[in-house]
Amino acid sequence: MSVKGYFLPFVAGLVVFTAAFLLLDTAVMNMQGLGLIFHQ
Amino acid sequence: MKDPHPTQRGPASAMIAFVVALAAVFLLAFGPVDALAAEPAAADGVAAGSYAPAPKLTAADYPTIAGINSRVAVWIFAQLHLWFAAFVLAVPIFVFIIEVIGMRTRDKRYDDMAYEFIKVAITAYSLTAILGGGLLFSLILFYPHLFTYLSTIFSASMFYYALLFFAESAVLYVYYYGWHWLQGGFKKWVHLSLGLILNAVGTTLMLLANAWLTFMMSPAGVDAAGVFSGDAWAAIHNFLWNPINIHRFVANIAYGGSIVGAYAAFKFLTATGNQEKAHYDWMGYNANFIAICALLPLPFAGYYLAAEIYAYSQQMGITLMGGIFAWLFIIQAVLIGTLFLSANYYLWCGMGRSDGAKRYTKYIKYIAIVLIGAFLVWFTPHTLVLTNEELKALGGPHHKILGPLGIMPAKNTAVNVMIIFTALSFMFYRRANKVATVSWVNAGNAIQVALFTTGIANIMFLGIYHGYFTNTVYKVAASIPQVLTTVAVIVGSITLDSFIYRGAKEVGPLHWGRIPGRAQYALFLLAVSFTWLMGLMGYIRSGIRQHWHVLDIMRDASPDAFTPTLGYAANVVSVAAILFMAMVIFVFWIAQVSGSKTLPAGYWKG
Amino acid sequence: MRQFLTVVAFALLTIGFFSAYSNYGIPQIEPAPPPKEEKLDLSAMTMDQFILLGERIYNGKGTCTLCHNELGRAPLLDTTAAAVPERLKDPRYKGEAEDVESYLIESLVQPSAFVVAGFGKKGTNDAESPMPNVAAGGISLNEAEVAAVVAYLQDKGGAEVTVEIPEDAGQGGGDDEEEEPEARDAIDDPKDLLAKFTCDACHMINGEGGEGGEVGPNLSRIGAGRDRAYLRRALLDPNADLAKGYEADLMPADIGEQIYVAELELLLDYLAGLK
Repeated sequence: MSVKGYFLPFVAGLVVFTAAFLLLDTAVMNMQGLGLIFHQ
Repeated sequence: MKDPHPTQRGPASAMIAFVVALAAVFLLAFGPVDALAAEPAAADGVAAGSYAPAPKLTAADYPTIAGINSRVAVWIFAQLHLWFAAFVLAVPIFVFIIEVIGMRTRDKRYDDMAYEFIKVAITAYSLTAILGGGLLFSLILFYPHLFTYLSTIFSASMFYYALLFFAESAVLYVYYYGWHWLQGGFKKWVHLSLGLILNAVGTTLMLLANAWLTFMMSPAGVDAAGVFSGDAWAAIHNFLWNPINIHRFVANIAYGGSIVGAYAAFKFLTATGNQEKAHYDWMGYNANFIAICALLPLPFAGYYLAAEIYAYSQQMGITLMGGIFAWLFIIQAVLIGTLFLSANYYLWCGMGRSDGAKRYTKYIKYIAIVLIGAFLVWFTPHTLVLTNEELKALGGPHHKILGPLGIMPAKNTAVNVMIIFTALSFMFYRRANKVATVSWVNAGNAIQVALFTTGIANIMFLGIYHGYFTNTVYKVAASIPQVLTTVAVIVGSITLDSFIYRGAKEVGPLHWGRIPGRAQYALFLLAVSFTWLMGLMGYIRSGIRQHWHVLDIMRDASPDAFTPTLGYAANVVSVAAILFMAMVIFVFWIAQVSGSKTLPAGYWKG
Repeated sequence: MRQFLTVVAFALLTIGFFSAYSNYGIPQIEPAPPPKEEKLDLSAMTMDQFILLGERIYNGKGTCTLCHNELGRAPLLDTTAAAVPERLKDPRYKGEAEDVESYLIESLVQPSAFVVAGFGKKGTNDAESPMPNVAAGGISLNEAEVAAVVAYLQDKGGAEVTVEIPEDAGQGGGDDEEEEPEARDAIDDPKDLLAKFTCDACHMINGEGGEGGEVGPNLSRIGAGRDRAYLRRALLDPNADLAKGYEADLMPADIGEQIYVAELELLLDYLAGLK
C-alpha cells in the first residue's frame, strides 16, 4: 500500500470523521439539554 | 394476445390507476380515523359523557370452562394470531418491493419469486383469521366484562376493523389469483397498485388492533375512574400507540423474511437438481437480506418503545427492566445474539458463491470474535438475584468485574457494535464478487477504514465515558448519538462503496447453489429464534400490566391475575411456538400440494 | 422425509434449549402476588408498631424501594426528614407545607412540589418529578398507609414522629376490590336489592319508602326521565349528577363496592323500567 494512496486518505478520514462525530455528539447532547462533558 | 407496444399506452393510464390506488390508500388509512375523530359519544342517542366507569370485578365475574385455563387460552390464541398476523403483514411488503424491482429490471426471476412468496403466505391468511376468531371467542367467553368495557370505547374502530377484512380478502384474492392474468404494461401497474392497497389495508388493520392493546397499557380518553370521554381518536392514539406501531412494522418485516427464509432453506435441502438448488439458494439469500435489513433498525425501535414505556409510567418501566421482568431481557439478549450470529453465519457461508470471496475470508474470524464478545457483554446481567450466602461470597449484588458490563450503556455499546459489524459482513459479501476499477480505490478503502474506526471509537467513547463517569441522565442521553453514529457509519459506508464500485468488474457469475447445507440451518435457527423471541416479548408486553386489565383503571380480579415465574412463561411460549411451527409446516405443505397431480390409473370412466 | 424430520428435530431442540435456559439458567423468582389490602387493626397499635407498618409498606405495597435505592434513580430517604426545614426555605419549593409531617405527606401525593436537584424528569430542569402520586393509580395507599409511611420516614430521618395513628383504616382510592366482601349469594330479585341497600330510607318508589323525608328524589318514574347510563352513574358515583334541589354527599358512595355486577344490571333493568 503506497503511503500517499492509502495512508494520507486514512489520516485525513480519521481527522474529518472524528471532528464530524464529535460535532454530532455535541449537537445531539445539546438538543437534550446537556453538554458533551459532564460537569458536576 | 401480445401487446405490441407495451410501454406506449402504459404510462398515462398507469399513472391514473396509480393515483386512484393512492387515493384508495389514503381513504382506507385515514378515512375511518377521521370519522372516528368526528364521532360524538355512543349509543342510544345519548349526549356525550354518559359512559360508566370501569367495572370493579371480583373473581366471580370470570366465567370458566372445565379443564381450560382461561389465561393460557387467551395467551396462546393471541400469540399464535400475532405470529401469523406478523407474517401475513410482512410478506406483502417485500413482495411489493420485489415486484417493483422486477418491473424495473424486467428480470422475470423477481416476479416469479414474488409470486412464490405470496403463494406461501396465502394459506397463512385464513389461519390468521381463524386464530383471530379464536382469540375473540376466548376473550368474550373468559373476560366478558373487560371485552364489554373495551368494545364500548372502541366500538367504531372494531366495526371498521371487521369491515376492512372484506377489502383485505378481495384485494388479496385478485392480487394472488390474478397474478398471471395481470401481466404486462398497464395490467402490471394495476397489479402493483393492488399490492399497494393490500399493504395499506393490512397496515390499517394492524394500527387499529394496536390501539386496543396499547390502550390497555397506557389508557387515554378516559378519566381516572375509566369513564370514557367519547373521543375515540384520543383512546386510539394513546401514548404507546406509535412506538408499538413502529416497532411492530419493522419487526414484522424482519420476521416475515426469516419465515420465508426457512421455507427456502428447506426447499434447498430437498431440492433435486442444480437448477432447483440455485433457485432456492437465491430465494434464501433474498429472504435473509430482507430479514437483516429490518433487523438492523429493530433494536432502536425496541429501545424507543421501552423509553416511551418509561416516560409514560416510571413504575411500569422499572418493572420492565429493573424489576421482576429484568431477567427476561437476559434471555432476550441470548436470543438476539443468536439472531445476529445466525444471520452473519449465513452471510459468511454465502460468500462461497463468489470466486472472489477468498480476499475477504481472512477478516471473517475477527468479525466473529467481535460479535461473540459483544454478545457476551450484552448477555451479562447487572444485578444478580442471590441468596444471602451467595451475597456474602460475592460481596454484594453485583460481580465486581463483570457487573459493570451489565449496565445499559455497556449493552447499548455492544448492540451498536453488533449492528455495525453485521453491516460490515454484508459489505464484504457484496464486495466479494466485485473488483473495483476506479483509480482512487485505495483512497476509498482507506476512508472506509477511517469511517469504521472513528465510528466505533465514538460509540465506545459515548458508552464508556458517559456510561461510567457521569450520571443517569447523561447515560441515557448518550445512547442517542450512539445510534446516530451507527446509522451514519452504515449509510456512509454503503454510499461510499457504491462510488468505489462504480463500473466495477464482476469476478464471475455467482454460483447460486454453491453453499454448504449447514448454512440452511442458520436460516432455520433464525426463524425459530425469531419466533420464540417474539413470543417472549409478547409475554413481557402483556405482563408488565401485571394485575391490571387496563393500567391503573380496571383491575384484573381473576384467579389468574398473578404474574407467573419466568420458567412457566417460557414454557407457555415454547408450547405455543411448537403449535405455530406445526401450523407453518401445514402452510408450506399446502403451498406445494396444490401443484401435485395424481393420475389414478383406471379410476375415472372413459 | 428424513430431511424434514431432521429439520423438525433441530427446531424442537432449539426451542427446548431456550426453554431449558429460561427454567434452569435463570433464577426463578416468584413474583409477588397481586396486592391484597391489609386488614389494619389500628386501634391496638403502638407507635413502634405503626412505624413498622410504615416500613412494611415502604418496602412492599408502596413500591418505594423500586426507585429509592442505591442505583441512583431517586434520592435516598434516610436523612430526608432532617433535611425538610432547609427545603421549606428553598426558593424552588412550590408546595404549601409548613412542617416536617405535612411536607412528607405532600411529597408523597404531590411529588413535584419539590424535586431534589438532578432527579427531575429529563428536560424539565428539575421542575417535574417522575414519581407518581402514591395515593392514586397503581399504588393507591390510603390515608392510614400514607401516615404510616410518613411516621417511618420521620423515624428513619431522626426527626420527631409527629404523626397520629388514625382511628380507622379508611378507604383507599380505587383499591376497593381487594377488600373482598364476605361471600354472599347473589340477589336475584330487584326488590330484595332495594331492601338490602336500604334505598327506601331516602327514596320513595311508588308510594313506599322515603321514611327519612325527601332526602333523595322520588324514583317512581325514574326510568322515563333518565337513561340507563345516568342511572348507572347515580348508583356508582352519586355526586356526579346531582338532581336539582338535592344535596351532595348524602347517598352512600360505596354501593359499587358491595353490589355484584349481575345485581347491578338487574337493578338497572328494574329502575329503567320504572316509567
